[in-house]
Amino acid sequence: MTSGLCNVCLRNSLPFVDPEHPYSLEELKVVSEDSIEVDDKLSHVRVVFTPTVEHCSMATIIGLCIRVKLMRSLPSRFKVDILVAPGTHETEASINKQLNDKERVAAALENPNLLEIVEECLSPSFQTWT
Amino acid sequence: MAEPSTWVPHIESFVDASRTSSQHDASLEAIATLVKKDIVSLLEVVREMEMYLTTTDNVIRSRGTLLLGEILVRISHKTLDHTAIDSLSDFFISRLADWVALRGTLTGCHAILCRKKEVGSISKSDVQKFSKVFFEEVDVRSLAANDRKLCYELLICVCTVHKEVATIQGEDLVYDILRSIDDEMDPTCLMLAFQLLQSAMSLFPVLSDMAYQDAFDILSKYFPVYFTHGDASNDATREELSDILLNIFCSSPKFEPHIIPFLLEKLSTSFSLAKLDSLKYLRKCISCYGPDRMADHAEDLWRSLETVIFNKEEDRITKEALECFETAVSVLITPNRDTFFGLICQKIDSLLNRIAPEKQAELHALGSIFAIISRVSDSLCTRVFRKYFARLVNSLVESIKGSLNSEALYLVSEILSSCRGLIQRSPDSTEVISEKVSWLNILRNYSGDLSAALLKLVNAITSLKEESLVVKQENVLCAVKCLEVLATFPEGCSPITDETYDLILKSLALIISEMDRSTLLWKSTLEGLIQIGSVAENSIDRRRSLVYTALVVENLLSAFINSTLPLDLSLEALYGIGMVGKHRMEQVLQVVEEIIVVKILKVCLEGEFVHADTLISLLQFYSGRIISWLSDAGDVSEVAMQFALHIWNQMENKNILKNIHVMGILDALMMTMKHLVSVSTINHQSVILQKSHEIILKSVSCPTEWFATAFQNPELLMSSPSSSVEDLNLISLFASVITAVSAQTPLPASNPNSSSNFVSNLFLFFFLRGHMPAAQALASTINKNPTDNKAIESCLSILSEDKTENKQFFKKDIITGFAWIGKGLVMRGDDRSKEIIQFLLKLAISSQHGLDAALSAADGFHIIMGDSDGCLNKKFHAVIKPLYKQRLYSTLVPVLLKSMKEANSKEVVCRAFGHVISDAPLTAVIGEAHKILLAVAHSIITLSMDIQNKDVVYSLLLVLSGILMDSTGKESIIENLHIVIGVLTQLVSYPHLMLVRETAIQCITSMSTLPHSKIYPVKPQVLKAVTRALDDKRRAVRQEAVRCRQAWSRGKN
Repeated sequence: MTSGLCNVCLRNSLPFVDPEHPYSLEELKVVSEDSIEVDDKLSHVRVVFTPTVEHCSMATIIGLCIRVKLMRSLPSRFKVDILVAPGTHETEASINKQLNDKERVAAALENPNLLEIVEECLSPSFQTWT
Repeated sequence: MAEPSTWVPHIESFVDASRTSSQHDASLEAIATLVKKDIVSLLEVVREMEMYLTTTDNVIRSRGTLLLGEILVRISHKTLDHTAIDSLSDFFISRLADWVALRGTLTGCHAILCRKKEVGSISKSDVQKFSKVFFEEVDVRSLAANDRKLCYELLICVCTVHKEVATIQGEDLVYDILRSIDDEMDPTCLMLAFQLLQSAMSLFPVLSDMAYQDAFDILSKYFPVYFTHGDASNDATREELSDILLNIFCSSPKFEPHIIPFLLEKLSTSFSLAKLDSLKYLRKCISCYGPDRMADHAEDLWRSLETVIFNKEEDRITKEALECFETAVSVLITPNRDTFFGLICQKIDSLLNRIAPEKQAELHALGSIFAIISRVSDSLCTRVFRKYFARLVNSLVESIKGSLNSEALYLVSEILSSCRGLIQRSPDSTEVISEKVSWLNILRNYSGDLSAALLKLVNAITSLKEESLVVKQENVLCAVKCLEVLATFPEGCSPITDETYDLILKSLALIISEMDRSTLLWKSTLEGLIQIGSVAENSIDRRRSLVYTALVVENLLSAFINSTLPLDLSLEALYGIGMVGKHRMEQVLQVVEEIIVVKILKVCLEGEFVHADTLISLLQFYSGRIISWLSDAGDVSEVAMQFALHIWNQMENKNILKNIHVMGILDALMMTMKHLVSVSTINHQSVILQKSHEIILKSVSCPTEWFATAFQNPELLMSSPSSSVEDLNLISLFASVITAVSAQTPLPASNPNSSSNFVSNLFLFFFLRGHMPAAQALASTINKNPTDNKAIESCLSILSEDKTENKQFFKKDIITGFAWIGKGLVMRGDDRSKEIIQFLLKLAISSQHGLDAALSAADGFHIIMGDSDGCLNKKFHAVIKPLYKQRLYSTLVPVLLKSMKEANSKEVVCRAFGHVISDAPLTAVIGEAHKILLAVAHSIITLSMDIQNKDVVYSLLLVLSGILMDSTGKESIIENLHIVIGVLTQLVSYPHLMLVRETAIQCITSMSTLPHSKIYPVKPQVLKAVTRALDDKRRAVRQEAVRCRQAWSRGKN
């Protein structure tokens, strides 16, 4: 059940849970600039993220959030691959498969509860822009 | 008296729970009005209601009681006799036990308790009885929020209106109230509960310790006030609740043993709101409880504050902590109480011994502590000086020889600024000046060494010699600040000698002339010099002022004259120094004037065109900054007139006149002339006018007789030889004088006998030859001299007669000129403007004289509706009728809307429409949003085809976004949603202007907040259009697109 800091991160990105500690994925070092590759010419983006603990139950949600954020922010010509960093999660293979399967992502986003969580996690990332 | 049959149905209707609430309200109001007007007596109503008030049916009984209660609320200003009041209060008090009908009972009790004496109020014994029964029978905590609110309001009424009765009950009342408000969570109710407790506690000067303990136990649960569900929908904000809670704690010092340890404990949590509120509460409590009560907490308080101040916290927490510290210092340190000061000294001692350069945060905290202790009072400042100042100065002086002790330098600068603040607040403090060991005298003893060291540091950075002392800029910055402080002590308490003062000025002036200008050091040195200057300026001792003039002002002026400094910086420095006082600015002004004339001669006579840019900057600086500063500071007319005359004198030289128009000099000169004339008085304006008029008469080469008849004979006008450059330049300059004169200044005539038409004829002649400044000047004359009908008639005669057949009149310049004249008339509210407006409309709509003429006519509306910096504005004394834009807007819009369908060239009409809409005040446009919205959309689409319309498209888009932001405008947008979205999605890929794309996406984003049911159908269209923008070549557009997509993909909100 313990999902470590990722849980903290997701819970805290909801501004009404605790507005004082909105740890972002970057602050938790789940995603860093080095782990993102962008090839504008070939229209390809590859994001590798590192769950905080091996049994992190939030890994799929984090991946889904990254995907939705990119879907909304990138032109449709981009192909996006989202991967768990090798060796950082017990169910690495199945998470990678889930996150990069178009139909499973689409199905997940049709689940209103899941979509709600994703929206709430993403909302601060759109407000803090200047 | 009315028959019961006429009003009893109202009672029945109210009591009937199956009726709608509006019916209930209507019947309640009906009965209340009858009672108010004495058509039915209250007694009768009660008698008729007897059954409803006593029945065993809970619903009916509760409705009945509520009706009676509500009627009482509505007749609170109607006089009732004692018997009625007594029986009503008896009834309601007895009903407090009936929980089913409690709402009505509470309403009734409230109405009775709040009644004023003059209209019959409740007896004391009844109030007492009420209060007893209330606390026995009503369990406030178990009620619904609305009922609780009523209860609190009731009790507040008891505690404020019936104080004497409430006081009799003693401490029990407070306990009863505490019990009632325990665990209250609703913000609105909590606000009332706090108010209730506050008024209850204020009834008793002292309560038992136990009572404070219990009150604290209940209240402390609310600290820090914090809403878990956001505070948007609450009547009471977080701040209000927090403030009232603080006021309760501050109301009695007896809370001290409980609240202070509690707050100190909260200060150590990691929740920043708790920290922030603790500090705020502590600050207020310390000053309310006083030194005696706080003495015991001194140590704990210091430890807690120390932790916050010396650890890296959020800025607002550190700021609050320092404010709290300042209050603690001023309250806790008294002549006979030294613990707090001792503790601070301990910390300072431990830090001073081991502070390292890398611990900047610690150093800044220490600096703030020094600054605060030194600024609280003279005696504390003296203690700081005695204990630390000598030590810091010595170590600074010592370190100058080797490696600099920058920490000591920083701390000294903090202490110095604080003590200067002290002496500025009370410059006559004899204690400080006369007492031997006061801080000022200690400072005087050390100022010699200190300033020598600081000067050495500052000079090291400016000296060209390679010295052993390597200095960092931030240290010099600090040193400059110290020197500035030392030189800005008020007169009579200056700690430095006159020689040191001179040295300081020299060193700082050297930084200004020698150092790299882009640095912070240069800017802060300039600010320092300005400060020093303003102190010197205000002192009675002229010596320092003279020295300042010699060392700083003249230095800067000579640097300016010899151009050893870059122009913009030297102008900035001069302006800064000038702001010190009026005569300094006049000194600067004089030098700038001289240089301007020199540069004019250089450019125009010697042909050194490299100076043209400098000249233009100087002219802009002169008119835009110096003259406006001086005119704000007082009378500038004389100076302005002298310079205007000086410029005119130069114009007598033909060679200057010939070249003055090169590289934009004439434009700058004209603007300067306008400013000079506009700030002059009427008499001075006349002098300038006279002078310029003479020169015109003398120098214009074409015969003056032409002017009077020119407009009657277009053939002659066109066939006469074209004017010389000198003539045009002279006319432009004369035009700028005429443009800026005020309406009362008489215009010159060509000779004393003729009428004053010379000026208008002159400008009419040049206007018809396409000279724009002449047209503007003519428009100004027409605007300001309503009696000068001849000029207007001459202009209009050109339009009305068959002269309009003459092709020469449809040149761009002439059409634009007519637009200016139209503007002059419209602004004054003159009806004759109609003819010009019609002329322009005809040109634009029919396009019979070619597309160029039509476009010029369309742009004419921009001139007429828009604001101009160059002429016909308030600054240049134009006559402006209020709301002239609105009037013109409402006349033009229907015509343009109609002609949009029939016009030959739709683009031209749309362009004219665009100008009219975007230049009109937004409120006027929003008011008619429903009428014009479609036309706006249509115009945007039509205009977006051509790149030359991009500015109009942008202005129209801004109007559209203005409509979108307004609540009434939103309704029209919703009605035409598909069309608006169609336009906006098209603009998302507008190729000619990035701002249009960005604004269009912003508009779409804000439309996502419109009702979901309305916008749902257009969602796919929007998402598709915005997706294209994700690949836009400009970053700002891409970011807006992402935000927009996010807003629209979120679905309903």
